[in-house]
Amino acid sequence: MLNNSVKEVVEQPEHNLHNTSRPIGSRAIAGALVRMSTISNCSHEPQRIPSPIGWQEWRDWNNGHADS
Amino acid sequence: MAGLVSLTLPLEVMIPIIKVVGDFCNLRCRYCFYNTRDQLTRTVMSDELLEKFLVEYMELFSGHLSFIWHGGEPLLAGLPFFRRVLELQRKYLKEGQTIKNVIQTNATLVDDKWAEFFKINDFKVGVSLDGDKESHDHFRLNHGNSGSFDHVVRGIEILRKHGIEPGMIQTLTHDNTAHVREDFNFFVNILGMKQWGVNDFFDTNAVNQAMLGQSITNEELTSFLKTYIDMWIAQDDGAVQVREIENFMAGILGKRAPSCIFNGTCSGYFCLGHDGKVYPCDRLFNRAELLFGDLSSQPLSEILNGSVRLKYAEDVSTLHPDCASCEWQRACHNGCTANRVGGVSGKYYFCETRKATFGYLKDKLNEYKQQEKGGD
Repeated sequence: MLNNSVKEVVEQPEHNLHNTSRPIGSRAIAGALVRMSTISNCSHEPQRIPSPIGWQEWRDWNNGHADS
Repeated sequence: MAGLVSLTLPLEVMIPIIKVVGDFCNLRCRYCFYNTRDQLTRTVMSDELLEKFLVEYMELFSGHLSFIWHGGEPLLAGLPFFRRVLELQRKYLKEGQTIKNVIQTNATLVDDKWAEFFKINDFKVGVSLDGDKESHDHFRLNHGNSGSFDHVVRGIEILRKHGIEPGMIQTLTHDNTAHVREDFNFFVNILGMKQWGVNDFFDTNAVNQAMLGQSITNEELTSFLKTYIDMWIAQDDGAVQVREIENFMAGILGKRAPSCIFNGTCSGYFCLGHDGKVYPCDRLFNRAELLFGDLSSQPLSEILNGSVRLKYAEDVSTLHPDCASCEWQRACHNGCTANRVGGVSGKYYFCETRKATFGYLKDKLNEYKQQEKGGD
């Protein structure tokens, strides 16, 4: 889905998280990429519900259910 | 029956959404699922049914158990109800089980006692807030037709005073799509939110006559999401998370999306009404053809192993034929079952929005990559 060359860059985004010299948007995207780096690669498993770790990754109030 | 999982076999835990007070609510939001129903009659789950549910649920599932307390407005059940919940959870807790309680509230009834209770007992709190006062008060009204914004913000302030940072759910309607920038700015720069989610209003069966014309279109939702992505990037705060952007981002990166409406886990939930009726989800509540069973007269295991639930699980896991050729199939899973045209096995109404937004955000990531290469 994402170009292989993009993957190389997005795999280590931490250095941009607080780098104010980077272009606008770098810190926002870097923050998301850092969060994504802790999520498992299992988008192909449609029947599984989030693990407790997954819940914590996306704030405690959310259980993966869209209305909570 | 491909992909079907019988509950008689070892199964991952299912998450219950418990409508403890049925439709009973101190607000009468114009877009609410239950707006056309009686929201004024006090209905609260009986102690007998609550205990039956907790006994059977905690016997059936092990590991990390999560309870989503929902409504109507769940705080109308009262503090003694939730103290009893904790008492019963402690009573029936088995070795190896842990419990998390989540409550979704309109926050208008939150006071120091509630906030203290949530804090002490580690409840995770979600609040419904649509944006700034203009956006929120357009639809989220009390029974006297007055806006609830000021009461909600007061509730949030009380929660924060007790060290609770609530999650937020914003509901998007046709009218509010014209107010996107103001709402984003309000959440981030005035309310100081770092995380919130967006639910789109889409009245599949046009049951709510008061909201005709308010269901958002693919064009409106696409435009909204692109604007939010642009504003999120312009805000450039690594801690700001909009749930929908996170979901799209996860899909692009081949990760598991955090929300059920992206990751195809609808059948991992069930919704229990105050009267014992069990449906797949609060969004599909009262759809007669999707009634899993009645806990007041049946064992929970029988309900969750019943033919209606198993058929629902099968329909959820079977994607629409159009998904076969879509590059985003595994990132989208045909969206929310409540918004599929023609029923659970139909095609997701916002398919075009999904494709357009995945593409838009992917381009942003590619731009990011080019910037990084240039900066090396």
